[in-house]
Amino acid sequence: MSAEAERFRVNADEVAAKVIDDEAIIINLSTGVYYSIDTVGARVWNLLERHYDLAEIAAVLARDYGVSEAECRGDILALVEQLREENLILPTEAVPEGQLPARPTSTSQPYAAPSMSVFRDMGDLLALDPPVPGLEPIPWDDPARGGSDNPN
Amino acid sequence: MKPLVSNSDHMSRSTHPAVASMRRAFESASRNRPEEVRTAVMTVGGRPVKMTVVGSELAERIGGAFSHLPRRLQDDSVELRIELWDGATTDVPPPSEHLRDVFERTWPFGRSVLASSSDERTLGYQSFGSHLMYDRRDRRIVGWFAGHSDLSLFELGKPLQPLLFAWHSDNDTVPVHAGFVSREGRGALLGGSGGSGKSTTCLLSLHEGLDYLGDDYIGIPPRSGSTFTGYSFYNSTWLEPNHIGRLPWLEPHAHRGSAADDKYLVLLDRIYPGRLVDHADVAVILLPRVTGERNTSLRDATPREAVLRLAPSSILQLPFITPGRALERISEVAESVPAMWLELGTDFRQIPERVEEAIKAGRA
Repeated sequence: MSAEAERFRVNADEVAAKVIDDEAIIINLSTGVYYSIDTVGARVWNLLERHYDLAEIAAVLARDYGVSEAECRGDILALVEQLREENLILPTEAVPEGQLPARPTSTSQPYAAPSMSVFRDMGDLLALDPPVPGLEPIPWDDPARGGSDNPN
Repeated sequence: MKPLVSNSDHMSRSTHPAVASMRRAFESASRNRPEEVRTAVMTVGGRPVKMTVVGSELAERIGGAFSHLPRRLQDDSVELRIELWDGATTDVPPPSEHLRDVFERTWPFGRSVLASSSDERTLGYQSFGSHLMYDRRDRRIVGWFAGHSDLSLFELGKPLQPLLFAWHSDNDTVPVHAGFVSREGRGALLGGSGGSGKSTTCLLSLHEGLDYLGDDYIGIPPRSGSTFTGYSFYNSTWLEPNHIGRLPWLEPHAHRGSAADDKYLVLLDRIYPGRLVDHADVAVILLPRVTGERNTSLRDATPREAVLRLAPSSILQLPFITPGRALERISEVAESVPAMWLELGTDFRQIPERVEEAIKAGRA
């Protein structure tokens, strides 16, 4: 199978994703890394979710943005490769579902190569704001009662 | 892999043996010390919850973080029963030493352990001095605490949190990692991780007269009409040493934990009686960030920026939630109300003023 005939599905066991404001927000539940993909990239994500193959995605972008399929093909391949490396999509044999999604409002914007921002800060943020601080057993001291048996 | 639970379709119809054993132990504790049984019915996330505790001191200490929630006199429509006993007071130990001995799956959670039965009907949570189980079908949490004088700061400030949040999730209420302060029933949801100024903003706002619902997690059920309502879970806050410098009036009320803890706990209902409310409508989303400038200002933010601030930590921090549903709910809220950056200055008096302005300018 040529690369352009490959179809993908979202790695639903490990990913939560949502397109909002014509941008895709993707969260990898296993790694804690999250992503934001801009307008054209969000359109690609939207089509990948529906199992469009890469040639079909190029055709949709060409239609929506008034560019040639050749112009966007390399950009799509680059984004798909990045999504695969981050384990956000997986190959599938499934065929496209339902109707072609409507053109997003962002197609009034000129075409620009998709760009994915990667946020790897959640580990640090969780360390700053852990879900379960204070788990050590303590000699309990209620300040409201004026207790003073605390070693601190 | 993060501990998740799915819908209840495939749950077994029979009670897990570990829950049955825990309930027998709870009943023994009740028989041992009937004079120590304390019961309260309160509204949690808008739903009636009955909590029965064997151990009057334990009841008082566990109840501290819930003291702001409305009490109910009737218990005929209870949607969750919580049954706890104090091992030291009753001389009744937990039936098993470790959750891993009775559940098929376990995960580390901070310095504690989470567990699930294979059919996900029963979830467990174990820390140094507690052993708790949640039966999702029976809508019951049953648990043992070693003793009221051995509670950790987490158990005092956020009692039962992983299992209570699982129950909220079962009710389609999404726990969102956010602060929430309000005025006359309309509030500002504050998104941001540690260091963003979220807690400081919430606590300054409370001190200057706004109502307070929380500074770390807020429950958001599906919209009612066109409005999203946020619910308070606990009246506690964690203070870091630098918070104490900014909010010195809270220092006399801070519970200090063990030497290993780098945070202090404050139960706010005792300090601001009547000012902690259990729910408010979401009027605006604020995204605080520290600027180093003197003045505090508001600037428009996009729904996408709001979701990026609110969703990852909400979804990644908490166990037993449904990530796709949480992301969908947060996105719906972000698309239904205005979002603004709250550029935090060093003149703290301005911060509550800007928050109040944002609430007034928010969705009616």
